[in-house]
Amino acid sequence: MRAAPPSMKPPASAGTGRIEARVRRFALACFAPSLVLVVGLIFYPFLYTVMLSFQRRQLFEKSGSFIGVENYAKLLASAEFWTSLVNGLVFSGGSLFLQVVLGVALAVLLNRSFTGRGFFRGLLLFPYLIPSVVGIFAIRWMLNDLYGIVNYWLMALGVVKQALPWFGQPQLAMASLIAINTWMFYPFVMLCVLARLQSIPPDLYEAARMDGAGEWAQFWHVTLPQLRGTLAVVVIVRTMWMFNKFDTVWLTTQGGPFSSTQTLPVLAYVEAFSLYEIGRASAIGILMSAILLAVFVLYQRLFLKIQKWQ
Amino acid sequence: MTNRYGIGTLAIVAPVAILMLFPLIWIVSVSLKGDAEQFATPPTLIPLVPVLSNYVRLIAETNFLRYIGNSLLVATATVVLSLLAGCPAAYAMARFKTLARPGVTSLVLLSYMFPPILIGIPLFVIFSKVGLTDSYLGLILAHTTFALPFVMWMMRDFFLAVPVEVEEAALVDGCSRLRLLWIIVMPIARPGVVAAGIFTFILSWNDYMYALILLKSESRKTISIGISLFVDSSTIEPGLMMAGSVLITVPVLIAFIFVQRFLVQGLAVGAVK
Repeated sequence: MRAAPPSMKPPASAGTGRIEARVRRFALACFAPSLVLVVGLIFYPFLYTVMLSFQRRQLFEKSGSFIGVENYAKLLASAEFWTSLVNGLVFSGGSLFLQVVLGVALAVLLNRSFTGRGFFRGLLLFPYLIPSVVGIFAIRWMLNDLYGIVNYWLMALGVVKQALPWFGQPQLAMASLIAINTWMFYPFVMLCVLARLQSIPPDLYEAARMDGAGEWAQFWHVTLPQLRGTLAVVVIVRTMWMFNKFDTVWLTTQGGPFSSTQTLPVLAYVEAFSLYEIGRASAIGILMSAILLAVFVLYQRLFLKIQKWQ
Repeated sequence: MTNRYGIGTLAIVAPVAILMLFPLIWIVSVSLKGDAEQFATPPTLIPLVPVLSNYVRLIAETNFLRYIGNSLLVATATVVLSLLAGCPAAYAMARFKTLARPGVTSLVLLSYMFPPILIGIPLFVIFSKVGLTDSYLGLILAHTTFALPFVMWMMRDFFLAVPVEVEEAALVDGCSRLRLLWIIVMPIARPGVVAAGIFTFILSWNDYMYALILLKSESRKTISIGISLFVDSSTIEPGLMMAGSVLITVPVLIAFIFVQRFLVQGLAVGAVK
Protein backbone atom coordinates (compact mmCIF):
# COMPACT_ATOMS: atom_id res chain seq x y z
CA MET A 1 0.00 0.00 0.00
CA ARG A 2 2.78 2.37 0.88
CA ALA A 3 6.50 2.44 0.22
CA ALA A 4 8.09 -0.29 2.31
CA PRO A 5 9.15 1.14 5.67
CA PRO A 6 12.83 1.24 6.47
CA SER A 7 13.64 -2.05 8.12
CA MET A 8 16.20 -2.08 10.86
CA LYS A 9 19.58 -3.41 9.97
CA PRO A 10 21.24 -5.58 12.57
CA PRO A 11 24.66 -4.37 13.79
CA ALA A 12 27.21 -5.12 11.10
CA SER A 13 29.58 -7.25 13.18
CA ALA A 14 27.05 -9.88 14.30
CA GLY A 15 26.32 -13.17 12.57
CA THR A 16 23.61 -11.92 10.25
CA GLY A 17 21.68 -15.13 9.60
CA ARG A 18 21.02 -16.01 13.23
CA ILE A 19 20.09 -12.46 14.12
CA GLU A 20 17.67 -12.26 11.22
CA ALA A 21 15.92 -15.39 12.41
CA ARG A 22 15.66 -13.88 15.88
CA VAL A 23 14.32 -10.63 14.52
CA ARG A 24 11.72 -12.50 12.54
CA ARG A 25 10.66 -14.45 15.65
CA PHE A 26 10.32 -11.19 17.56
CA ALA A 27 8.26 -9.63 14.75
CA LEU A 28 5.93 -12.60 14.66
CA ALA A 29 5.60 -12.61 18.46
CA CYS A 30 4.57 -8.94 18.30
CA PHE A 31 2.02 -9.70 15.65
CA ALA A 32 0.63 -12.95 17.03
CA PRO A 33 -1.89 -11.67 19.62
CA SER A 34 -3.51 -9.34 17.11
CA LEU A 35 -3.50 -12.05 14.48
CA VAL A 36 -5.29 -14.44 16.82
CA LEU A 37 -7.91 -11.80 17.66
CA VAL A 38 -8.46 -10.67 14.08
CA VAL A 39 -8.70 -14.21 12.78
CA GLY A 40 -10.86 -15.41 15.67
CA LEU A 41 -13.21 -12.43 15.79
CA ILE A 42 -13.39 -11.34 12.16
CA PHE A 43 -12.20 -13.92 9.66
CA TYR A 44 -13.53 -17.00 11.43
CA PRO A 45 -16.99 -15.43 11.93
CA PHE A 46 -16.89 -14.40 8.28
CA LEU A 47 -16.25 -17.98 7.16
CA TYR A 48 -18.91 -19.11 9.61
CA THR A 49 -21.37 -16.75 7.89
CA VAL A 50 -20.44 -18.23 4.53
CA MET A 51 -21.33 -21.65 5.94
CA LEU A 52 -24.57 -20.38 7.49
CA SER A 53 -25.57 -18.79 4.20
CA PHE A 54 -25.83 -22.26 2.63
CA GLN A 55 -28.12 -23.55 5.36
CA ARG A 56 -31.73 -23.37 6.33
CA ARG A 57 -31.42 -22.56 9.97
CA GLN A 58 -33.35 -20.90 12.76
CA LEU A 59 -31.49 -18.58 15.10
CA PHE A 60 -31.59 -20.77 18.20
CA GLU A 61 -31.18 -24.13 16.47
CA LYS A 62 -27.96 -26.02 17.15
CA SER A 63 -27.50 -26.93 13.52
CA GLY A 64 -29.18 -26.38 10.17
CA SER A 65 -29.71 -28.32 6.99
CA PHE A 66 -27.55 -27.75 3.94
CA ILE A 67 -29.61 -26.33 1.10
CA GLY A 68 -26.91 -25.17 -1.32
CA VAL A 69 -27.45 -21.81 -2.92
CA GLU A 70 -31.18 -21.71 -2.21
CA ASN A 71 -30.89 -18.69 0.11
CA TYR A 72 -29.01 -16.75 -2.55
CA ALA A 73 -31.35 -17.82 -5.32
CA LYS A 74 -34.41 -16.82 -3.31
CA LEU A 75 -32.87 -13.50 -2.31
CA LEU A 76 -31.83 -12.57 -5.83
CA ALA A 77 -35.33 -13.44 -7.00
CA SER A 78 -37.08 -11.44 -4.27
CA ALA A 79 -38.25 -7.90 -4.77
CA GLU A 80 -37.32 -7.15 -1.17
CA PHE A 81 -33.62 -7.63 -1.76
CA TRP A 82 -33.50 -5.40 -4.81
CA THR A 83 -35.65 -2.74 -3.18
CA SER A 84 -33.31 -2.74 -0.19
CA LEU A 85 -30.29 -2.50 -2.45
CA VAL A 86 -31.77 0.41 -4.37
CA ASN A 87 -32.85 2.09 -1.13
CA GLY A 88 -29.33 1.65 0.18
CA LEU A 89 -27.88 3.22 -2.96
CA VAL A 90 -30.26 6.18 -2.77
CA PHE A 91 -29.57 6.51 0.96
CA SER A 92 -25.78 6.38 0.64
CA GLY A 93 -25.58 8.20 -2.69
CA GLY A 94 -27.83 11.03 -1.49
CA SER A 95 -26.06 11.49 1.83
CA LEU A 96 -22.69 11.24 0.17
CA PHE A 97 -23.44 13.89 -2.44
CA LEU A 98 -24.76 16.38 0.10
CA GLN A 99 -21.94 15.66 2.56
CA VAL A 100 -19.35 16.36 -0.10
CA VAL A 101 -21.00 19.56 -1.33
CA LEU A 102 -21.51 20.92 2.19
CA GLY A 103 -18.13 19.68 3.43
CA VAL A 104 -16.14 21.17 0.55
CA ALA A 105 -18.03 24.48 0.69
CA LEU A 106 -17.41 24.84 4.42
CA ALA A 107 -13.77 23.77 4.12
CA VAL A 108 -13.15 26.43 1.47
CA LEU A 109 -14.85 29.07 3.64
CA LEU A 110 -12.94 28.00 6.75
CA ASN A 111 -9.69 28.19 4.83
CA ARG A 112 -10.11 31.95 4.24
CA SER A 113 -9.02 34.25 6.98
CA PHE A 114 -11.72 35.83 9.11
CA THR A 115 -12.31 36.70 12.73
CA GLY A 116 -13.05 33.65 14.89
CA ARG A 117 -11.88 31.12 12.33
CA GLY A 118 -10.42 28.67 14.85
CA PHE A 119 -13.57 28.87 16.93
CA PHE A 120 -15.84 28.06 14.00
CA ARG A 121 -13.55 25.27 12.82
CA GLY A 122 -14.06 23.56 16.17
CA LEU A 123 -17.76 24.35 16.41
CA LEU A 124 -18.63 22.99 12.97
CA LEU A 125 -17.15 19.62 13.93
CA PHE A 126 -19.62 19.08 16.75
CA PRO A 127 -22.32 17.16 14.87
CA TYR A 128 -19.69 14.55 14.04
CA LEU A 129 -18.41 14.18 17.57
CA ILE A 130 -21.66 13.45 19.38
CA PRO A 131 -22.76 9.81 19.79
CA SER A 132 -24.94 8.89 16.83
CA VAL A 133 -27.79 7.77 19.10
CA VAL A 134 -27.86 11.28 20.57
CA GLY A 135 -27.83 13.01 17.20
CA ILE A 136 -30.49 10.75 15.74
CA PHE A 137 -32.89 11.16 18.65
CA ALA A 138 -32.36 14.92 18.75
CA ILE A 139 -33.36 15.24 15.10
CA ARG A 140 -36.18 12.75 15.57
CA TRP A 141 -37.68 14.88 18.30
CA MET A 142 -37.24 18.06 16.25
CA LEU A 143 -39.06 16.39 13.36
CA ASN A 144 -41.82 14.92 15.52
CA ASP A 145 -45.08 15.55 13.63
CA LEU A 146 -47.05 16.68 16.68
CA TYR A 147 -44.59 18.46 18.93
CA GLY A 148 -41.59 19.02 16.64
CA ILE A 149 -40.13 22.49 16.36
CA VAL A 150 -39.46 22.12 12.63
CA ASN A 151 -43.11 21.59 11.75
CA TYR A 152 -44.08 24.42 14.07
CA TRP A 153 -41.74 26.86 12.35
CA LEU A 154 -42.64 25.75 8.86
CA MET A 155 -46.31 26.30 9.66
CA ALA A 156 -45.65 29.59 11.44
CA LEU A 157 -43.73 30.85 8.41
CA GLY A 158 -46.51 29.63 6.15
CA VAL A 159 -44.26 27.25 4.18
CA VAL A 160 -46.62 24.34 4.81
CA LYS A 161 -50.28 24.31 5.81
CA GLN A 162 -50.26 21.01 7.68
CA ALA A 163 -47.72 19.30 9.87
CA LEU A 164 -45.49 17.10 7.70
CA PRO A 165 -45.10 13.42 8.67
CA TRP A 166 -41.31 13.47 8.35
CA PHE A 167 -40.89 9.77 8.92
CA GLY A 168 -44.37 8.65 7.93
CA GLN A 169 -44.38 9.16 4.19
CA PRO A 170 -42.00 7.19 1.91
CA GLN A 171 -40.16 9.96 0.00
CA LEU A 172 -40.15 12.27 2.98
CA ALA A 173 -38.77 9.54 5.26
CA MET A 174 -35.89 8.86 2.90
CA ALA A 175 -35.20 12.60 2.65
CA SER A 176 -35.19 12.89 6.44
CA LEU A 177 -32.72 10.03 6.78
CA ILE A 178 -30.44 11.59 4.18
CA ALA A 179 -30.66 14.89 6.02
CA ILE A 180 -29.65 13.23 9.30
CA ASN A 181 -26.68 11.52 7.67
CA THR A 182 -25.59 14.70 5.91
CA TRP A 183 -25.75 16.62 9.15
CA MET A 184 -23.80 14.02 11.11
CA PHE A 185 -21.07 13.35 8.57
CA TYR A 186 -20.34 16.54 6.57
CA PRO A 187 -17.61 17.39 9.15
CA PHE A 188 -15.60 14.35 8.07
CA VAL A 189 -15.42 15.70 4.52
CA MET A 190 -14.84 19.22 5.80
CA LEU A 191 -11.92 18.15 7.98
CA CYS A 192 -10.18 16.04 5.34
CA VAL A 193 -10.60 18.71 2.66
CA LEU A 194 -9.48 21.50 4.99
CA ALA A 195 -6.31 19.59 5.81
CA ARG A 196 -5.59 19.21 2.12
CA LEU A 197 -6.41 22.85 1.30
CA GLN A 198 -3.81 24.01 3.80
CA SER A 199 -1.11 22.16 1.91
CA ILE A 200 -1.85 23.69 -1.50
CA PRO A 201 1.14 25.89 -2.38
CA PRO A 202 0.05 29.58 -2.41
CA ASP A 203 2.06 30.33 -5.54
CA LEU A 204 -0.43 28.26 -7.56
CA TYR A 205 -3.06 30.87 -6.68
CA GLU A 206 -0.66 33.72 -7.36
CA ALA A 207 0.04 32.35 -10.81
CA ALA A 208 -3.68 31.98 -11.45
CA ARG A 209 -4.31 35.56 -10.33
CA MET A 210 -1.57 36.83 -12.62
CA ASP A 211 -3.37 35.07 -15.44
CA GLY A 212 -6.43 37.10 -14.44
CA ALA A 213 -8.44 34.30 -12.81
CA GLY A 214 -11.25 35.44 -10.51
CA GLU A 215 -12.12 33.67 -7.28
CA TRP A 216 -14.53 31.29 -8.95
CA ALA A 217 -12.03 30.41 -11.67
CA GLN A 218 -9.37 29.87 -9.03
CA PHE A 219 -11.63 27.41 -7.21
CA TRP A 220 -12.45 25.61 -10.43
CA HIS A 221 -8.97 25.45 -11.94
CA VAL A 222 -6.67 25.36 -8.90
CA THR A 223 -8.51 24.17 -5.80
CA LEU A 224 -10.65 21.38 -7.25
CA PRO A 225 -7.88 19.66 -9.23
CA GLN A 226 -5.71 19.74 -6.09
CA LEU A 227 -8.53 18.18 -4.07
CA ARG A 228 -9.08 15.38 -6.54
CA GLY A 229 -7.02 12.80 -4.67
CA THR A 230 -8.46 13.59 -1.25
CA LEU A 231 -12.00 13.59 -2.55
CA ALA A 232 -11.51 10.28 -4.31
CA VAL A 233 -10.53 8.61 -1.05
CA VAL A 234 -13.14 10.41 1.04
CA VAL A 235 -15.88 9.43 -1.37
CA ILE A 236 -14.99 5.74 -1.36
CA VAL A 237 -14.57 5.50 2.41
CA ARG A 238 -17.81 7.33 3.08
CA THR A 239 -19.67 5.25 0.49
CA MET A 240 -18.72 2.09 2.34
CA TRP A 241 -19.66 3.46 5.74
CA MET A 242 -22.97 4.85 4.53
CA PHE A 243 -23.78 1.57 2.81
CA ASN A 244 -23.19 -0.25 6.13
CA LYS A 245 -25.03 2.32 8.23
CA PHE A 246 -27.54 0.64 10.47
CA ASP A 247 -28.44 2.90 13.37
CA THR A 248 -29.66 5.92 11.39
CA VAL A 249 -32.36 3.78 9.83
CA TRP A 250 -33.08 1.48 12.76
CA LEU A 251 -33.51 4.27 15.31
CA THR A 252 -35.87 6.28 13.13
CA THR A 253 -38.04 4.33 10.71
CA GLN A 254 -36.84 0.72 11.19
CA GLY A 255 -37.08 0.48 7.42
CA GLY A 256 -40.63 1.76 7.10
CA PRO A 257 -43.03 3.09 5.98
CA PHE A 258 -43.77 0.16 3.62
CA SER A 259 -40.08 -0.80 3.40
CA SER A 260 -39.36 2.53 1.72
CA THR A 261 -36.24 3.10 3.82
CA GLN A 262 -35.24 -0.53 4.27
CA THR A 263 -31.56 -0.95 3.46
CA LEU A 264 -29.53 -4.17 3.33
CA PRO A 265 -28.10 -3.96 6.88
CA VAL A 266 -31.61 -3.45 8.24
CA LEU A 267 -32.99 -6.30 6.13
CA ALA A 268 -30.23 -8.59 7.42
CA TYR A 269 -30.92 -7.57 11.01
CA VAL A 270 -34.65 -8.18 10.66
CA GLU A 271 -34.12 -11.57 9.01
CA ALA A 272 -31.71 -12.64 11.76
CA PHE A 273 -33.21 -11.25 14.92
CA SER A 274 -36.91 -10.71 14.22
CA LEU A 275 -37.61 -13.61 11.83
CA TYR A 276 -34.79 -15.83 13.15
CA GLU A 277 -33.86 -16.77 9.55
CA ILE A 278 -30.14 -16.84 10.22
CA GLY A 279 -29.33 -18.55 6.92
CA ARG A 280 -31.03 -15.93 4.82
CA ALA A 281 -29.57 -13.13 6.95
CA SER A 282 -26.10 -14.56 6.40
CA ALA A 283 -26.63 -14.67 2.65
CA ILE A 284 -27.59 -10.99 2.70
CA GLY A 285 -24.42 -10.22 4.66
CA ILE A 286 -22.27 -12.12 2.17
CA LEU A 287 -23.87 -10.35 -0.79
CA MET A 288 -23.25 -7.01 0.95
CA SER A 289 -19.62 -7.81 1.46
CA ALA A 290 -19.28 -8.92 -2.15
CA ILE A 291 -20.55 -5.51 -3.23
CA LEU A 292 -18.20 -3.82 -0.77
CA LEU A 293 -15.26 -5.93 -1.86
CA ALA A 294 -15.66 -4.50 -5.33
CA VAL A 295 -15.61 -1.03 -3.78
CA PHE A 296 -12.57 -1.96 -1.70
CA VAL A 297 -10.58 -3.03 -4.76
CA LEU A 298 -11.44 0.29 -6.34
CA TYR A 299 -10.35 2.07 -3.16
CA GLN A 300 -6.99 0.33 -3.20
CA ARG A 301 -6.39 1.21 -6.81
CA LEU A 302 -7.14 4.85 -6.10
CA PHE A 303 -4.95 4.77 -3.02
CA LEU A 304 -2.02 3.49 -5.03
CA LYS A 305 -2.54 6.11 -7.68
CA ILE A 306 -2.67 8.88 -5.11
CA GLN A 307 0.48 7.58 -3.47
CA LYS A 308 2.17 7.90 -6.83
CA TRP A 309 1.05 11.49 -7.32
CA GLN A 310 2.31 12.70 -3.98
CA MET B 1 -11.09 47.76 6.86
CA THR B 2 -14.05 45.40 6.76
CA ASN B 3 -12.12 43.02 4.59
CA ARG B 4 -9.45 42.57 7.23
CA TYR B 5 -11.92 40.85 9.53
CA GLY B 6 -13.40 38.83 6.68
CA ILE B 7 -16.91 40.05 7.42
CA GLY B 8 -18.22 38.57 4.17
CA THR B 9 -17.02 35.07 5.05
CA LEU B 10 -18.20 35.42 8.62
CA ALA B 11 -21.64 36.42 7.37
CA ILE B 12 -21.96 33.06 5.64
CA VAL B 13 -20.19 30.85 8.18
CA ALA B 14 -21.93 32.10 11.32
CA PRO B 15 -25.53 31.38 10.21
CA VAL B 16 -24.51 27.97 8.87
CA ALA B 17 -22.81 27.18 12.18
CA ILE B 18 -25.93 28.18 14.11
CA LEU B 19 -28.06 25.98 11.85
CA MET B 20 -25.72 23.00 12.25
CA LEU B 21 -25.49 23.41 15.99
CA PHE B 22 -29.20 23.96 16.46
CA PRO B 23 -29.99 20.30 17.26
CA LEU B 24 -27.42 20.44 20.05
CA ILE B 25 -28.83 23.67 21.41
CA TRP B 26 -32.25 22.04 21.23
CA ILE B 27 -31.07 19.01 23.23
CA VAL B 28 -29.86 21.24 26.05
CA SER B 29 -33.04 23.32 25.90
CA VAL B 30 -35.42 20.35 26.09
CA SER B 31 -33.38 18.75 28.87
CA LEU B 32 -34.07 21.81 31.04
CA LYS B 33 -37.84 21.89 30.48
CA GLY B 34 -40.50 20.67 32.86
CA ASP B 35 -43.01 17.97 31.88
CA ALA B 36 -45.60 20.34 30.43
CA GLU B 37 -43.22 22.65 28.63
CA GLN B 38 -41.61 19.80 26.69
CA PHE B 39 -44.84 19.37 24.76
CA ALA B 40 -45.93 23.01 24.68
CA THR B 41 -47.02 24.78 21.49
CA PRO B 42 -45.36 27.03 20.50
CA PRO B 43 -42.15 25.29 21.52
CA THR B 44 -39.91 27.58 23.56
CA LEU B 45 -36.25 27.92 22.66
CA ILE B 46 -35.19 29.13 26.08
CA PRO B 47 -37.15 27.28 28.79
CA LEU B 48 -39.61 29.62 30.52
CA VAL B 49 -39.07 27.80 33.78
CA PRO B 50 -35.73 26.01 33.58
CA VAL B 51 -35.70 22.96 35.84
CA LEU B 52 -33.22 20.25 36.65
CA SER B 53 -35.93 17.69 37.34
CA ASN B 54 -35.06 15.63 34.24
CA TYR B 55 -31.50 15.21 35.41
CA VAL B 56 -32.62 14.39 38.95
CA ARG B 57 -35.16 11.82 37.73
CA LEU B 58 -32.66 10.35 35.30
CA ILE B 59 -30.21 9.63 38.09
CA ALA B 60 -32.65 8.80 40.88
CA GLU B 61 -35.40 6.89 39.06
CA THR B 62 -33.77 5.22 36.06
CA ASN B 63 -30.83 2.88 35.56
CA PHE B 64 -28.86 5.64 33.87
CA LEU B 65 -25.86 5.42 36.20
CA ARG B 66 -25.83 1.67 35.72
CA TYR B 67 -25.73 2.14 31.92
CA ILE B 68 -22.89 4.65 32.31
CA GLY B 69 -20.98 2.21 34.48
CA ASN B 70 -21.47 -0.59 31.96
CA SER B 71 -20.31 1.59 29.08
CA LEU B 72 -17.27 2.73 31.07
CA LEU B 73 -16.34 -0.86 31.84
CA VAL B 74 -16.79 -2.11 28.28
CA ALA B 75 -15.04 0.88 26.69
CA THR B 76 -12.08 0.76 29.08
CA ALA B 77 -11.57 -2.96 28.61
CA THR B 78 -11.84 -2.57 24.83
CA VAL B 79 -9.18 0.16 24.89
CA VAL B 80 -6.80 -1.90 27.05
CA LEU B 81 -7.22 -5.04 24.98
CA SER B 82 -6.84 -3.38 21.60
CA LEU B 83 -3.86 -1.24 22.67
CA LEU B 84 -2.05 -4.18 24.26
CA ALA B 85 -2.53 -6.36 21.21
CA GLY B 86 -2.51 -3.63 18.55
CA CYS B 87 0.57 -1.54 19.42
CA PRO B 88 3.18 -4.33 19.15
CA ALA B 89 1.50 -5.54 15.97
CA ALA B 90 1.54 -2.06 14.47
CA TYR B 91 5.19 -1.70 15.45
CA ALA B 92 6.04 -4.99 13.78
CA MET B 93 4.17 -3.90 10.66
CA ALA B 94 6.08 -0.62 10.58
CA ARG B 95 9.55 -2.06 11.19
CA PHE B 96 10.05 -5.62 10.04
CA LYS B 97 10.23 -6.80 6.47
CA THR B 98 8.34 -9.99 7.29
CA LEU B 99 5.21 -8.00 8.15
CA ALA B 100 5.68 -4.88 6.05
CA ARG B 101 4.32 -6.60 2.97
CA PRO B 102 1.40 -4.96 1.18
CA GLY B 103 -0.54 -8.19 1.75
CA VAL B 104 -0.46 -7.79 5.54
CA THR B 105 -1.46 -4.14 5.55
CA SER B 106 -4.27 -4.77 3.07
CA LEU B 107 -5.51 -7.57 5.27
CA VAL B 108 -5.71 -5.23 8.26
CA LEU B 109 -7.51 -2.62 6.21
CA LEU B 110 -9.83 -5.27 4.81
CA SER B 111 -10.71 -6.52 8.29
CA TYR B 112 -11.72 -2.96 9.06
CA MET B 113 -14.07 -2.76 6.09
CA PHE B 114 -16.32 -5.74 6.85
CA PRO B 115 -19.95 -4.72 7.22
CA PRO B 116 -20.53 -4.67 11.01
CA ILE B 117 -23.81 -6.52 10.54
CA LEU B 118 -21.89 -9.30 8.82
CA ILE B 119 -19.72 -9.69 11.94
CA GLY B 120 -22.60 -9.20 14.37
CA ILE B 121 -24.74 -12.08 13.09
CA PRO B 122 -22.13 -14.89 13.28
CA LEU B 123 -20.71 -13.50 16.53
CA PHE B 124 -24.15 -13.86 18.07
CA VAL B 125 -24.41 -17.48 16.91
CA ILE B 126 -20.87 -18.36 18.00
CA PHE B 127 -21.15 -16.50 21.29
CA SER B 128 -24.44 -18.17 22.18
CA LYS B 129 -22.70 -21.55 21.84
CA VAL B 130 -20.00 -20.63 24.33
CA GLY B 131 -22.22 -18.56 26.62
CA LEU B 132 -20.79 -15.15 25.69
CA THR B 133 -24.01 -13.47 24.62
CA ASP B 134 -25.39 -11.05 27.17
CA SER B 135 -21.99 -10.77 28.84
CA TYR B 136 -19.51 -7.94 29.20
CA LEU B 137 -16.72 -10.08 27.74
CA GLY B 138 -18.79 -10.84 24.64
CA LEU B 139 -19.45 -7.16 23.99
CA ILE B 140 -15.80 -6.27 24.65
CA LEU B 141 -14.70 -8.87 22.09
CA ALA B 142 -17.29 -7.58 19.63
CA HIS B 143 -15.99 -4.02 20.04
CA THR B 144 -12.47 -5.33 19.52
CA THR B 145 -13.51 -6.21 15.95
CA PHE B 146 -13.53 -2.52 15.05
CA ALA B 147 -11.15 -1.19 17.74
CA LEU B 148 -8.18 -3.45 17.03
CA PRO B 149 -7.87 -2.87 13.27
CA PHE B 150 -8.28 0.84 13.99
CA VAL B 151 -5.41 0.83 16.52
CA MET B 152 -3.20 -1.23 14.22
CA TRP B 153 -3.83 1.07 11.31
CA MET B 154 -3.39 4.32 13.20
CA MET B 155 -0.37 3.25 15.26
CA ARG B 156 1.42 1.90 12.22
CA ASP B 157 1.51 5.44 10.87
CA PHE B 158 2.89 6.69 14.16
CA PHE B 159 5.64 4.11 14.34
CA LEU B 160 6.60 4.83 10.74
CA ALA B 161 7.19 8.42 11.82
CA VAL B 162 9.53 7.43 14.68
CA PRO B 163 13.12 7.73 13.41
CA VAL B 164 14.86 4.37 13.07
CA GLU B 165 18.27 5.81 14.00
CA VAL B 166 17.41 6.03 17.71
CA GLU B 167 16.50 2.37 17.74
CA GLU B 168 19.57 1.34 15.79
CA ALA B 169 21.78 3.15 18.28
CA ALA B 170 20.11 1.35 21.18
CA LEU B 171 20.53 -1.98 19.43
CA VAL B 172 24.21 -1.37 18.92
CA ASP B 173 24.39 -0.70 22.68
CA GLY B 174 23.08 -4.23 23.22
CA CYS B 175 19.49 -3.38 24.13
CA SER B 176 17.07 -6.29 23.60
CA ARG B 177 14.22 -5.87 21.12
CA LEU B 178 11.54 -6.12 23.76
CA ARG B 179 13.20 -3.56 26.03
CA LEU B 180 13.72 -1.35 23.01
CA LEU B 181 10.01 -1.43 22.22
CA TRP B 182 8.95 -0.84 25.81
CA ILE B 183 11.56 1.68 26.97
CA ILE B 184 12.41 3.66 23.85
CA VAL B 185 9.77 3.31 21.17
CA MET B 186 6.60 3.41 23.26
CA PRO B 187 7.52 6.63 25.12
CA ILE B 188 8.27 8.36 21.82
CA ALA B 189 4.96 7.17 20.38
CA ARG B 190 3.02 7.98 23.55
CA PRO B 191 0.97 10.86 22.08
CA GLY B 192 -0.15 8.48 19.38
CA VAL B 193 -0.99 5.75 21.87
CA VAL B 194 -3.05 8.18 23.95
CA ALA B 195 -4.87 9.47 20.88
CA ALA B 196 -5.58 5.97 19.57
CA GLY B 197 -6.81 4.99 23.05
CA ILE B 198 -9.19 7.93 23.28
CA PHE B 199 -10.56 7.36 19.79
CA THR B 200 -11.07 3.68 20.60
CA PHE B 201 -12.84 4.61 23.80
CA ILE B 202 -15.21 6.90 21.90
CA LEU B 203 -15.88 4.26 19.24
CA SER B 204 -16.88 1.78 21.93
CA TRP B 205 -18.82 4.37 23.95
CA ASN B 206 -20.86 5.29 20.85
CA ASP B 207 -21.59 1.76 19.63
CA TYR B 208 -25.24 0.89 19.26
CA MET B 209 -25.54 -2.12 16.95
CA TYR B 210 -23.36 -4.68 18.73
CA ALA B 211 -24.91 -3.83 22.08
CA LEU B 212 -28.37 -4.19 20.52
CA ILE B 213 -27.51 -7.63 19.13
CA LEU B 214 -25.60 -9.06 22.07
CA LEU B 215 -27.12 -7.67 25.27
CA LYS B 216 -30.36 -8.89 26.81
CA SER B 217 -30.52 -8.17 30.53
CA GLU B 218 -31.30 -4.70 31.78
CA SER B 219 -28.40 -4.78 34.22
CA ARG B 220 -25.78 -5.06 31.45
CA LYS B 221 -27.15 -2.53 28.98
CA THR B 222 -24.83 0.22 27.77
CA ILE B 223 -25.81 3.87 27.44
CA SER B 224 -26.76 3.95 23.78
CA ILE B 225 -29.21 1.09 24.33
CA GLY B 226 -30.35 2.43 27.68
CA ILE B 227 -31.06 5.85 26.35
CA SER B 228 -33.11 4.60 23.43
CA LEU B 229 -35.43 2.92 25.93
CA PHE B 230 -36.73 6.35 26.95
CA VAL B 231 -38.16 6.76 23.48
CA ASP B 232 -38.96 3.24 22.34
CA SER B 233 -41.24 2.50 25.27
CA SER B 234 -44.90 3.42 24.92
CA THR B 235 -44.45 6.77 26.62
CA ILE B 236 -42.13 9.29 25.06
CA GLU B 237 -39.87 10.98 27.56
CA PRO B 238 -38.05 13.71 25.62
CA GLY B 239 -36.84 15.43 28.78
CA LEU B 240 -35.18 12.30 30.16
CA MET B 241 -33.83 11.43 26.75
CA MET B 242 -32.24 14.85 26.22
CA ALA B 243 -30.85 15.06 29.76
CA GLY B 244 -29.23 11.67 29.19
CA SER B 245 -27.96 12.87 25.82
CA VAL B 246 -26.27 15.86 27.40
CA LEU B 247 -24.63 13.71 30.07
CA ILE B 248 -23.23 11.14 27.64
CA THR B 249 -22.08 13.73 25.09
CA VAL B 250 -20.10 15.94 27.44
CA PRO B 251 -17.40 13.30 28.17
CA VAL B 252 -17.01 12.68 24.45
CA LEU B 253 -16.54 16.37 23.69
CA ILE B 254 -14.00 16.71 26.52
CA ALA B 255 -12.12 13.65 25.25
CA PHE B 256 -11.97 15.17 21.78
CA ILE B 257 -10.31 18.30 23.09
CA PHE B 258 -7.38 16.11 24.13
CA VAL B 259 -7.04 14.45 20.74
CA GLN B 260 -7.68 17.55 18.63
CA ARG B 261 -4.09 17.50 17.40
CA PHE B 262 -4.57 14.01 15.99
CA LEU B 263 -8.09 14.56 14.74
CA VAL B 264 -7.30 14.52 11.03
CA GLN B 265 -5.13 11.42 11.33
CA GLY B 266 -7.64 9.61 13.52
CA LEU B 267 -10.65 10.50 11.43
CA ALA B 268 -8.90 9.58 8.23
CA VAL B 269 -8.67 5.99 9.46
CA GLY B 270 -12.21 6.10 10.74
CA ALA B 271 -12.21 7.20 14.38
CA VAL B 272 -15.93 7.76 13.96
CA LYS B 273 -17.90 5.91 11.38
